Amino acid sequence: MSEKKSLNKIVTDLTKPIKNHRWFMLWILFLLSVMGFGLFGWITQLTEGLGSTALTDYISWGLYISGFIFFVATALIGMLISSVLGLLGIKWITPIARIAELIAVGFAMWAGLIIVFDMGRPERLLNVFIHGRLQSPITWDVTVVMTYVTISILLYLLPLIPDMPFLKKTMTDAPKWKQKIYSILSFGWVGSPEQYKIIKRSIKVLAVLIIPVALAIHTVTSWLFAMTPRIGWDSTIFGPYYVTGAFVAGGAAVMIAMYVFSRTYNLKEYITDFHFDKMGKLLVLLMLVYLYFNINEYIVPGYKMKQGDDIHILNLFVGHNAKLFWSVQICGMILPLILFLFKRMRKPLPAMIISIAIVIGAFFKRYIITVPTLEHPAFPADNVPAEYLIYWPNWVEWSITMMAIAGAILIVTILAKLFPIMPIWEVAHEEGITNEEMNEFEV
Amino acid sequence: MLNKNITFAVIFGLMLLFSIDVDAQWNIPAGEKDKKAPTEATVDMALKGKTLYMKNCKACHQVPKTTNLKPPAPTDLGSEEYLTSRTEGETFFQTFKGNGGSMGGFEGRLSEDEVWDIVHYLGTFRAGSTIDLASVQQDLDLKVNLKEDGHKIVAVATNAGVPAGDVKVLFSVKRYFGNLTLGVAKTNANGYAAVSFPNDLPGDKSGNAEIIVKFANQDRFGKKEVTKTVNWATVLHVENMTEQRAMWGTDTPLWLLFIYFGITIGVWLGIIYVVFQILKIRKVAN
Repeated sequence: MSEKKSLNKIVTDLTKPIKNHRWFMLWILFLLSVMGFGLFGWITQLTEGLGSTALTDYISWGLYISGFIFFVATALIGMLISSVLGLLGIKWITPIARIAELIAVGFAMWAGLIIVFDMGRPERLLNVFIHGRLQSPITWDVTVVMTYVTISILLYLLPLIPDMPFLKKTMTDAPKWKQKIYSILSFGWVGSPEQYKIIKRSIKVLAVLIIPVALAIHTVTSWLFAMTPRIGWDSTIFGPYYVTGAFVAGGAAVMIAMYVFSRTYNLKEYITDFHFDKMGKLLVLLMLVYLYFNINEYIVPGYKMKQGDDIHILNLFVGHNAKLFWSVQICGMILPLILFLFKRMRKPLPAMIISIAIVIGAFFKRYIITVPTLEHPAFPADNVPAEYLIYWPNWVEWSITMMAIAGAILIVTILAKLFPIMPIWEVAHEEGITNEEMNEFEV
Repeated sequence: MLNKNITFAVIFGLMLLFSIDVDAQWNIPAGEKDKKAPTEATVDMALKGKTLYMKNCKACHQVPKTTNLKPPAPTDLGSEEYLTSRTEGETFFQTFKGNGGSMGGFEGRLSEDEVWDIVHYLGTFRAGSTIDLASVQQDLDLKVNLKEDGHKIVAVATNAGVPAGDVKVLFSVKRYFGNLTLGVAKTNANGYAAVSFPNDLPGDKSGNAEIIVKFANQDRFGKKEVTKTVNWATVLHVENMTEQRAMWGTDTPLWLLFIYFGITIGVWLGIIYVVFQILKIRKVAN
């Protein structure tokens, strides 16, 4: 953030990566092959039924639903960064807000799809719309996921509009379809004060709107569990517990994306050590809040050891899920929290590595929330094969979940290849470039 | 199921072993031997005793006088040999207390009076007994007529076409758990007995109730039973829990409907507003 950058430099720096296709195809090919394997898994599941997975009558919410919560969680970061911090007028989020929004769009869309993968008869999803009861949290979840995806897409799209003229002017050698997209998405943008007013007002409306919707999407997701009286899910703090956990997961995902984009897109001048440092500090705050909720969620029932709860808590603390439980709690939350307290650890590379640990921890934390409860059926389990009460996903679930992860990354990748990863006009504003200068921009 | 059967077999086997081992001596306290029944035996007592015997004793002791089991099989309690060697008091004690071995006591399962009824029944097999059960047992016919006027249930008892008087008839109505007695009436000389159906008894959703008419003393008059459906009961109004607007029903509670659509419509109006704003951008280009 030292000397001022010229508009010409900003436009060149930000449009260069979307012209350069080195390694891009290889990366896409890799993602598609992962998805292809997942598709094979899904076809297997569709033809042979859910019996081809490790799911059983008792443990019917396995890796898929854990993955679903993880995806919704990760998608939540868009709201925190571009909306909450944006409305607070925090300046350093400008270069990373779109990254956060990209992650929100990619992961929220696939979150909805994972629910379909969890269904043995996906065509019956329609029944939710035909016969859905408003009393059921499932209906609320479907509604809120769709709403969140829509707002996230709009919130991604809106700040793109003023960038379109720059793209039209610089991407002259791009294929026709691309030019067409730029033209359509510019919505006749010329940069008049009236247009700026509209765009700023609309962004503000959405930014305010997305806060309750985002809180709702993850609170409702938590209610899918907490609205049942089952041990381990029957908790009054599940809503905020999920939301804070989501911010941690999403914040770490943004950190990884920041690292990847600043390196591959050569944008170190824009996403600087300063941003990593700020994100690191933000993650410390989020993880402290999350730690606080974890203490409440596990220590309170652990202290009381109510009948029924004790089986679950002991299973997590010292039982057959203990290894996974302590791994995610220590490697996915406590250690990263301590490490991020040191300035040296908030440098890009260590921050990215720590964030990977957080994201992996976050994924398996959802698994720890979902599966152990199901391993203790609420009703008497007579004459049940022993293997029905222990769950570990098989290749079908893994391949389909990998397809979802690759799919979300694919959406991020493609959108980041079609459009600049940062809003040119907002970066320009930060550098003190006026609207008039931007309107008069020529290559 | 298999486990249950095995457990059963093991217990039964142990019982058998145990019983052979300790087919205990009968230690009947001195006072018990001369104990007398509180009342003289009557036909009805003996009949009741017969029913109780068939229910509780027959499984081991067989029908009196019909067995020729060899020891250690249970004694034929109707045999001359048994009856002449025991007093009433001894039989009572043996039945009530048992011998702590193969013969279990019925104390707690049968009342003293019931055990005495059994003793009286066995007494009918004694030489010189004045009670001849075979001659007093009848198999009466039972018919039921319904009179709409006053909601009367009329029972007609006949013995081979001849009206049977002085027979107690039990009128009851079927409920969820067992039968509710409406009344007991004795037949008159014409064989008629009647009770009125109460006017405040709940029936089903259309006011139907099932009445059951039988002889009060089935041991003596036979097990004829007539059931009829009458439409005299009050109509039952049961609210179907799933039909109301409730969290568990199919219809959404209004407050939830209001909140859900309030929030959803509110948010989507915001979204639609923004979409229109985007479309407005072109219009205000100049």
